[in-house]
Amino acid sequence: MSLIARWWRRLAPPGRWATAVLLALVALAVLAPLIARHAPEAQLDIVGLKSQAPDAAHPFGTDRYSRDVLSRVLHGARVTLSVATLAVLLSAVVGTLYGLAAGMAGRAVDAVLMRTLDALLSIPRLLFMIALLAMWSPVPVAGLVLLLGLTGWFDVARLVRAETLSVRELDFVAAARSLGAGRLRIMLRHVLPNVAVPVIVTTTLGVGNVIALEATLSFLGIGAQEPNASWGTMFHEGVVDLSGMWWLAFFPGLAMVTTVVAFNVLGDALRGVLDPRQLERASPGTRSAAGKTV
Amino acid sequence: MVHLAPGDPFGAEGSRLTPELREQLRVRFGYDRPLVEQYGRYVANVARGELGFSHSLQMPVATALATAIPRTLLLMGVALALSFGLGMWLGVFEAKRRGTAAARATNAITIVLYSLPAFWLGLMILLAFAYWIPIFPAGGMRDVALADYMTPGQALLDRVKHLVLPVLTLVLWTGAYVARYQRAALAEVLPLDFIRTARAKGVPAHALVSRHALRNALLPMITLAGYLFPYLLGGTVVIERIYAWPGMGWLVTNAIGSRDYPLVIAAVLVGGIMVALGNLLADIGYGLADPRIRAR
Amino acid sequence: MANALLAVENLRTHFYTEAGVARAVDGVTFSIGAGETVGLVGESGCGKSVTAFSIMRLIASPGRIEPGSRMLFEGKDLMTLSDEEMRRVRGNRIAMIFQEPMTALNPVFTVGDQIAEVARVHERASKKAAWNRAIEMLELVGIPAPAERAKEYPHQMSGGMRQRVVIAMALVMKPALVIADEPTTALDVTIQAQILDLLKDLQTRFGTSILLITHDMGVVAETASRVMVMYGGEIVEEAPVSRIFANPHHPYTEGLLGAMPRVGRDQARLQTIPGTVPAPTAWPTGCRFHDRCPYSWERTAHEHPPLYEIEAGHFSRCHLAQEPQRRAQPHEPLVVQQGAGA
Repeated sequence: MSLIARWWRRLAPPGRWATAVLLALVALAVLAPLIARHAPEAQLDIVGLKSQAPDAAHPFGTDRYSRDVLSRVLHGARVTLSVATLAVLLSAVVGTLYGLAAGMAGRAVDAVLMRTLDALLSIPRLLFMIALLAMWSPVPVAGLVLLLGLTGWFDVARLVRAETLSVRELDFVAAARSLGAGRLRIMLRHVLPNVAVPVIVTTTLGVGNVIALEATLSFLGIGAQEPNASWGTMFHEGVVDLSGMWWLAFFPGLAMVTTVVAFNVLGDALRGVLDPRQLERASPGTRSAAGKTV
Repeated sequence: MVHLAPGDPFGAEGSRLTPELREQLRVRFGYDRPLVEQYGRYVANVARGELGFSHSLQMPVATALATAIPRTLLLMGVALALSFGLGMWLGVFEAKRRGTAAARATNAITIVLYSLPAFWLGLMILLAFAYWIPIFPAGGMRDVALADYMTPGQALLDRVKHLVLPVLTLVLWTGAYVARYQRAALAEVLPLDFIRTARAKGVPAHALVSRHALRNALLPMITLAGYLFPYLLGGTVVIERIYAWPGMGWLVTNAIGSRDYPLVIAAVLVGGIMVALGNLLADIGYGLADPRIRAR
Repeated sequence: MANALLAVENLRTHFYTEAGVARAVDGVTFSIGAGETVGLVGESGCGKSVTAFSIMRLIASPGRIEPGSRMLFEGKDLMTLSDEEMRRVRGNRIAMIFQEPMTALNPVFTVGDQIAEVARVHERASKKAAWNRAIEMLELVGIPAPAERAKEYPHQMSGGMRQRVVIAMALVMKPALVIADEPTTALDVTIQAQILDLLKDLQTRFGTSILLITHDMGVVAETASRVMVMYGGEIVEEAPVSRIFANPHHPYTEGLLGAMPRVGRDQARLQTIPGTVPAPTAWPTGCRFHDRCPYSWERTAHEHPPLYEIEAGHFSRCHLAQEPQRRAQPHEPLVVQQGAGA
């Protein structure tokens, strides 16, 4: 049975729902140009159609510039999702490389790398990004992805380093080396499969964080900019008259919350799939899976 | 590092400065010097306690921050304490009622709360309790109009009223995270052998969690406190913006628009120091709390 | 036994796992009298620890004690007790000693506190009274300077000391029955002897019955008056200690004894039992030992043997009881023939 099929079987129901929701969202995002009735930045009728509450023609209402909110939400999905996914992938790659380097290096280098990591960790991510983006405004989407990715790799690095260290100690590594296999190749072959699993979980959970972070930045005006408005950017404009035009903040918010919740639920459920110890136990206190010696 | 970003504070679009004036200002503030020199000068200044001058506020950065930081600390402090209290209680609650409907419901609620971006939660709460159901003030730290006419007691109450909504937002937001973390920590501990021993001794089920497991699951919580600090700081920054709470976050988010670099950089610096201190405290706390470490 | 302290009847404990139903304990019947020390012997995977946990009703999902199991203790069937009633039995009337003293103790509480807790839980003793009891118990189990040691944490003590603490915890309420699950396995040989002596001493003093679970026949010889051998989730032989060493009947018991290094015996090699313990999800058909047995024949592959009484008080779950002549024709066990054995 393929790996995916096995994983699916072990995925708890909430995880399955989350996957379904996410797939639907991705589909909507990808198909946005086809589904959305209007272009996201198109001002339809600045006199007649601005600031309309939701109705049949505009299910999510229109904003101050008479843009259709539904279309904006659909297109916003593309921006939000792509930024988040790319950023998170970047983090995963950088983190893995850093972790491998730290794990394979000598004690001194490892210590230096880890201290640096700790120091980097204590920088408040949001404040830091605010500082950088304040200078770099308006920031291109690629820049946003870059910054988000380069500030989120710490957990992955820790994980990979831990795994690298433990693999290093295994006997067969020494054996393989004596046979002439290069160190890097050994590490990659053995570390990656073991570490892929927790990294995937961390990454999935990380997407939710990044979406929220990007939204916050866009809300403050220094994130995604028009015409690539993300859900967060929509807040930046929507907050102006919050009590009056509630739909401006509500619908993007709903979309965002649904997405982040789905990612978090999926991440949680994935933890259960990949770490059988989280499931039921044989008897209290025994660490063995049921059926093994007690 | 920060100066690597393109542009300088005076090149912002819509700036009303003439090119000559811009050049003058640039020279005055040192932006025409090579980057390395700028950085070196800055570090030297900081060491001397000189954080620069904020042109948007027309006052030294240090002064601006000095009034703002305590307000941020107030907000963060109260929020941290309450969110840990709430979060830990929730975590224990969930662990005790493992498998019941109540636990599943709490689990769902915490997942949703923890997934919300702080600003959205803040906005919604503001909408709900300050506009739609106007119980609490919509922002600020105190009622400026009536401030002079209030008795100390009333003033205190006024302060508290203004604290409620921002704190509520922060507590719900971080509390959910704490609760999940606590629950996970307890889940790690509960299958361990000594819990089984305690059960075999006849210790009642609730005490298994709240006494035996919790004392062991407290240790990761202390580490969490250290880790949560930067997270909470980020959230506070945004919340201050939404509720117009005149603390560091408020200053920074306003400074963004006016490209007031010295202020922004200084704020980040201070933020970093606060976090480092927080981590240090957490490390010390952990060492005190774990008898295995203490014994050394 | 007429007025046994504990009478277990047809105990079955099954675990419902993804891999199938693991019948860890599959129809175990025995009794323990007052003041008796009974040994329960077998290799890992035979179900002895699960038996112990079942008596204490410490089995959690996905395991459960199957209906039809009865455990009569002091006149009541433990299976019928409510959770609260059972809780009052644990640590109070029946106590348990575990295998790994380091992990069995809570690392963040002092040893005194952990012992005192038993008194606080069952007797509602005041903190002071309970603490004094703890010191008494520490003295009883032979820990020097008990008042000072009581304030120590588990990680500050040696393995042997910790085990004494665990024993102290078990005996606070002077239980009628103590279940000792491999109490000496994790300890050095010299400490083992001390702990066993301690157990014997305490038993004489308090008249406690002991169910001693171990894989080590030597330990049993030291301390027990009666032995039960477990294999495949069942009891395969039961006899007074003297009989089982002099006249083992079941081939598995023979194997266990043959694997014991013995002073004075001229052995070229230790005999091991070929093959490995089967998985509880798939016990072999017929006699569960037949594929590793040197005497097996057709009947043993199909017909599950009952417990035959060999002599007074000596039982064996082996068809050899009815066809003793087969013992004269040993052969390579099936697992070896099929290439799976050692």
